[in-house]
Amino acid sequence: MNDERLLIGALTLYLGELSKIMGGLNQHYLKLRSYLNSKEIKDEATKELLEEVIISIKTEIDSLKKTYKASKNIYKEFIRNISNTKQDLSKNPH
Amino acid sequence: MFHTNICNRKKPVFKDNKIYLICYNPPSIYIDIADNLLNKFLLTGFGFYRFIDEWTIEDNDQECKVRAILLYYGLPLIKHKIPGTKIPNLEDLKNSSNKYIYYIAGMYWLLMNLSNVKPPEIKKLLNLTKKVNRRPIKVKELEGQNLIIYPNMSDLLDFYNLIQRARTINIWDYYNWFIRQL
Repeated sequence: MNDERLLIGALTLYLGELSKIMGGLNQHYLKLRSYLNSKEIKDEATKELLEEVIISIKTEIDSLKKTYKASKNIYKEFIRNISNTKQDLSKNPH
Repeated sequence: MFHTNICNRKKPVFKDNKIYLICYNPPSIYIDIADNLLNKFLLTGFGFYRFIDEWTIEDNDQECKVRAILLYYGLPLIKHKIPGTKIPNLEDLKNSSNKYIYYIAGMYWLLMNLSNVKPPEIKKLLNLTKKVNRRPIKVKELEGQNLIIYPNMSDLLDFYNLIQRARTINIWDYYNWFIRQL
């Protein structure tokens, strides 16, 4: 198996795991947002602490999204290369 | 020397040069030594030194001041708010309109700020709330407060696992895994 194919396999798993982590963090993010938006929170200290945590989680999710997007582009590029190579081989079998 | 307002009674147990751990799981409060073998990970791994504060405890009918880390269901709290910081503290907790949400926000804040702490150690911290084989005491600053909540520890562990994965995930781990399969 050449390096390109190994990387495609690795990228497939990597992208799947990134997606799982983003989904999980997003659930925590949404839960905290719902706390912040609830009318139960009337004091500033709780609001501020929640806001700080929400911003930090959002930053982590955004960073993962960027990594995901860049990795997905690399993945697509590899797939394109492989299919081009296959086409070239079928056109020129010798 | 011991800080005590009742002299010449039973020998006080708490020492000035020791740091204690107060596990506050309302309605029960237990005390232990913070730097013993079982609890030392809180100081070394978690860096809970910054949460050491002076608390007034009552033990054997004697009132003493001890230097301790107060853990509220595993969340370390300092006594007073430090202006300009978000460090979880008892003052804000008492004044919070929803103590459960303040605790959750505090725990997320703590977990986000930890690094190099392995998930099993987080489990150990959260499990401290279940241990009841320590010495029961009273803490003056906590008396008469209605601070009972019912936190979901598995949610917190799940969050910590995710945040650690987010910070350590690496394409080359997967690549090397593939190579090992060949």
